[in-house]
Amino acid sequence: MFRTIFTKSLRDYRWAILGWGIGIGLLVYFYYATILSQLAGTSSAQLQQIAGQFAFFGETVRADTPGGYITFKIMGFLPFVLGIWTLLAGARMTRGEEDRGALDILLSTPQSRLGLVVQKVLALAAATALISVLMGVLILAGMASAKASLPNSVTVDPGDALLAAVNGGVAAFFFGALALLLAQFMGRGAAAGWAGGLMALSYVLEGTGRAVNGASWLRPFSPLYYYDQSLPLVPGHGMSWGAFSLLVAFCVILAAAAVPLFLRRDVGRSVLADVTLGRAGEARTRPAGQVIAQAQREVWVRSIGLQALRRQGTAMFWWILVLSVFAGYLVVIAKTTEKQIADLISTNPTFQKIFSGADIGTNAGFLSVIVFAYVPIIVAIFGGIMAYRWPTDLDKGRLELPLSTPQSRWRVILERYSAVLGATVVATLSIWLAIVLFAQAAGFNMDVGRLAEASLGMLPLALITASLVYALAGLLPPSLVIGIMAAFLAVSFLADLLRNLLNLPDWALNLSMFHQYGSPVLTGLNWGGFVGMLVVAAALLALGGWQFSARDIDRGVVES
Amino acid sequence: MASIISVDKLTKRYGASRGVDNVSFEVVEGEVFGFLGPNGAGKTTTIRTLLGLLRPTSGGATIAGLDCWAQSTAVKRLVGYLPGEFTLDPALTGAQILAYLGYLRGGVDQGYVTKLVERLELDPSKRFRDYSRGNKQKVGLVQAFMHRPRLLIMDEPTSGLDPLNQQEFYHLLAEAKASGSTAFLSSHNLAEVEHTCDRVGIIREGQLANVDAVHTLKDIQHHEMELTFPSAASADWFSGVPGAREVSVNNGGRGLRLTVQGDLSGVLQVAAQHGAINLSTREPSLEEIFLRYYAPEAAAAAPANR
Repeated sequence: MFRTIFTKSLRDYRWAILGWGIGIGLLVYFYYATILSQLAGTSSAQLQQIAGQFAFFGETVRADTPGGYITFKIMGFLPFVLGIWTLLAGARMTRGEEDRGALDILLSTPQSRLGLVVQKVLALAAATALISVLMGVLILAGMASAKASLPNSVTVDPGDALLAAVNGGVAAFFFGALALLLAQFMGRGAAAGWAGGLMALSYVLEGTGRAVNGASWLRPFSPLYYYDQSLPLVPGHGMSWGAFSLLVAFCVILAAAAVPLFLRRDVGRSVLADVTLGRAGEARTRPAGQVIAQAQREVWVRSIGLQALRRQGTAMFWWILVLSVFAGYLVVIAKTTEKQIADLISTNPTFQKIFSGADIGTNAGFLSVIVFAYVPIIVAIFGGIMAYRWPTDLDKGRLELPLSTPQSRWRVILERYSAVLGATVVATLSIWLAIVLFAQAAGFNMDVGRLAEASLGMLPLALITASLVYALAGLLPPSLVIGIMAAFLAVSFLADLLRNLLNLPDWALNLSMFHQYGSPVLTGLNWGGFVGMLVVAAALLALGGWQFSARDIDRGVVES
Repeated sequence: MASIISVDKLTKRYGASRGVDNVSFEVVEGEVFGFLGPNGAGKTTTIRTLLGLLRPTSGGATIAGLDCWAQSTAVKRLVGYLPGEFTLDPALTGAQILAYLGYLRGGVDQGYVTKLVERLELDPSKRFRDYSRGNKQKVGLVQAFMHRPRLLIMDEPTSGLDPLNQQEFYHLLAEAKASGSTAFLSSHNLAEVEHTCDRVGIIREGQLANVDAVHTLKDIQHHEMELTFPSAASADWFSGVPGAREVSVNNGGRGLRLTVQGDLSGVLQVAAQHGAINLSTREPSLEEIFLRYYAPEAAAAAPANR
């Protein structure tokens, strides 16, 4: 595995291949395996109609068939979920090693830059292909399982299963190639951020184009439009080879555009570095005393907590802005389809099952399903990702100097955590404000107090996730910490979302923090659960603090 | 004078691999103490234990009577620390890093920080990621000295510095000593330790081989010398000359090879008497000295004597 850059890079992806391939594959498998209970009691026409109202979330062609329903319900999210990995990998592909100074050593061997970047791109492509194969196998297994319960409407076709997975893999790879291209212009964090933003925008464009009459002209501007053209799981639809070829061509163009930029630029610097050099040159002549006095006056250098806020401030700002706008946007989308849904529901109580049993015949219930089913998990992910700086800083040995100052370890960890806490509080407040404002603008009559409770209720979800990251930091490598966090969120979220299908015992369901959160827009905040979850978050943080203060500080992987 | 650092039977193990084993020594207030040893000997482990970054497996250390683990926050008030390797937020400028670490210390004299920055010729407006290795080292040095600590603990302080800045560092160290501060520094450079330190501890394979005054160390230091004479030479010429050992004849009888420990003057006088026409000397590397004087059996025979 160490013979070529290609095989070495592929080896670096081995855990990601297994984790993402099996994880996403199992998710699809799970939907197939429970297809009977999901579709039972709803007529074909009703299903089509309902799906049509939720077209923002997925392609709705023949949603009355198992394959169409799976496509609508889960396949639309596949490029998004896998895209999170590919875009991180794309942003890190050369930048990760550049930032560590490791690329200097690699390039000091008789390897051409062209060979290096091409092999790395091919390794990411191969990894995505292997993930697709794993997903395809599990989709096939799902088909077989669904066939057992619905023998007449499900066909088990290995080709369709594989094509569905490969189509998703290519769409996800698009965002990896995009991130690689962006990383030629900026650091890996900024590249991943921009690629993530563009991915979200692609979703909104495609979703809006699908859901809103007269907006379908938006769709071709989204790469996901070309993904949605191929529907191998939907009976009688299959692949659109033209759209698929275009999607592949986009991937090749993006990756190929990155290559000459990588060949021309300085290692460790942006393509644009020479353009901005003149500006930096002017600032250099100031006397040392002046520079030092100015730094002394800055607010952000005055404590560990403030410094942490400064470092993550930009990321926090964008997360909170995008989250708030997204929540507001969902409110507007909800408003446009409110009437039809209400009519539909009054005639079909079994439909509620699909949306977790909420009464969506009222404004509050509708909002509960559309907005407060998805925003809480995103807020929880936000908390976890903001906390993730802690294990990575430990891993990189960035605490060696701050810890040589007379700050106790407890103080260090608590100040860092309070920066995350502050960001989370601002996020929930901002989401509440956005929903209230957008609901006002859209003419939704809402109980503002209830909305405040529902927003506040998300706080412990983010804090438990953040505290979990803190509890594991330093004990496990950062990549494993984020893996455990993701698994925890997935299990917790799905257990609640699918509670009517899973028939979990009450005690098990109560362990899910999303179940504890409930539907506060409808029922008011579950204060017992709220306080209980805060206690759990505090206990996890205490565990993190205790193990941090009793442990050797790793010197870490020092970046040059 | 009283000890400021007191290390007592300190043992630190990392799983199966070695850290330090049963190390004891004292550093007296006001002295410059050099901690000498090859790579991987346990210098950094000892230093990081003193800072409370590592927890001793057994034994322990105190600084000014405070336990380095249990009272590490109080210890760190007294100490300026330069790690052997360190990294910080790459987006911060040198000035921001110094301001930040200054605030974490409860405020430091800005004028002194500026003076240090100017003396080491550090550009404080650059971002940490854009600093060369030597400039990063300067940031580390400034933050270690900036609060005029009672005790300086520095892990290979001159690594990466150019000769001019090394000299400036030696001046800073001498000034700190003159104002009553103590310094504990590690090095694998024998000449540097000889130049700057009052006493040295030598560590090898996790065990303290010797602690002694630096002039004693000079006896350890020796030269391999080759002399060429116009006519046949005799090994007997150097019998009884102070420091000369292992004399052998080579180069067709006109050359002599010998090992000289310590001062060369006696050997040079004798060589001049016999009209030596050529002379070359070579200082052995620290590694050779260690192999010669502190091989495991020798270490067992010469235990720490303080």
